[in-house]
Amino acid sequence: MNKQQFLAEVRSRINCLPKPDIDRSLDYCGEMIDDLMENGMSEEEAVAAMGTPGQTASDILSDSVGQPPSFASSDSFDPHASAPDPSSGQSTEPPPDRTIPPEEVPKYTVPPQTQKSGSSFPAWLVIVLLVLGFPLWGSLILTVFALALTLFLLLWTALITLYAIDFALAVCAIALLAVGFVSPLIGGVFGVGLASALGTFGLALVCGGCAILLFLLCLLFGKGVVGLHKVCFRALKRLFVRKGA
Amino acid sequence: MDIQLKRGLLDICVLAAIQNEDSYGYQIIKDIKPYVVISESTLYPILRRLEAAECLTVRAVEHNGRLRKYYRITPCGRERLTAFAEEWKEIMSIYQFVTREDKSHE
Repeated sequence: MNKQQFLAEVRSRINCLPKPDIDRSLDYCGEMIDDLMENGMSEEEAVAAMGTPGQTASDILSDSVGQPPSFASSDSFDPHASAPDPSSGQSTEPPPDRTIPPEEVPKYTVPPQTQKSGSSFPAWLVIVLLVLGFPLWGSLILTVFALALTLFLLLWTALITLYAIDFALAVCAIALLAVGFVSPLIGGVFGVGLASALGTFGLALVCGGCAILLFLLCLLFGKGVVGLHKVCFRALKRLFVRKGA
Repeated sequence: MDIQLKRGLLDICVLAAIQNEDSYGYQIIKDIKPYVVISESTLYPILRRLEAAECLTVRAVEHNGRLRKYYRITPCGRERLTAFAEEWKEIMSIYQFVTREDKSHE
């Protein structure tokens, strides 16, 4: 393998790094190879002295991140067996440095943070946040409460109105009944005859009937409103009872 | 040798190699190879680590038409060497104690 091939192989394995790191490490490798050649080695020998591209890449990566990825050091041959290094007499020595587990690099690693409690927030923090956020959640709750109150008032007003209408109808019915009885007696003044008296009675009956129907409707509606009240109170009670428990 | 111990010693060796004059990668390897087993590519992470720890600085110098990186020790790096020497004086005295000749049984 020549220098360019070696550098290309290493580059392909350290591509995950940021560009300045890639350039810096390849500069280092190139410089080392050049120096080895300047001091007597051939290009092949110098490249072999660097180790396999995989091992070189794994050395570079072990500095940059926590663990060198296993793919970076995937080669099959041991360079130290084939390339005698003229500057030392230790060519038969196995390369233990390459199996060194990655060192702690304070610049890049962060110690794991341990959780103090089971839930995500400590209790005192929740209280502080509630107090601080009072203007927000306070006004929100006030708004919800005001809306609920308005709704209830509307319902009650509707109910009262219906009853009032019903009462008015009942009064109408009675009044018409009275008119029906009285008018033939008065007779001449209003120009009414028996027919109109009967018509008046009829109208009275209609009013009466409507009054009765409306009354039933009012009762139903009233029951509904009261029922709604009951449901709301039960829900609120459950909310507070659960908090207290 | 214990791997952790060796790693720490390699850092110290590299600093010692540049304590008297600036040096470059190949020369550093040549200087410390008689003392510890080190390979050309293992030196790289050591240099990066020492630079990150501000124990040395790097500068590029032109040499034969190419750029060569020279490493210079910093005062912080020198402190590390001093601390190492102090620590090992203590270790040496313990070593003397452990390997002293046992004269009491003669």
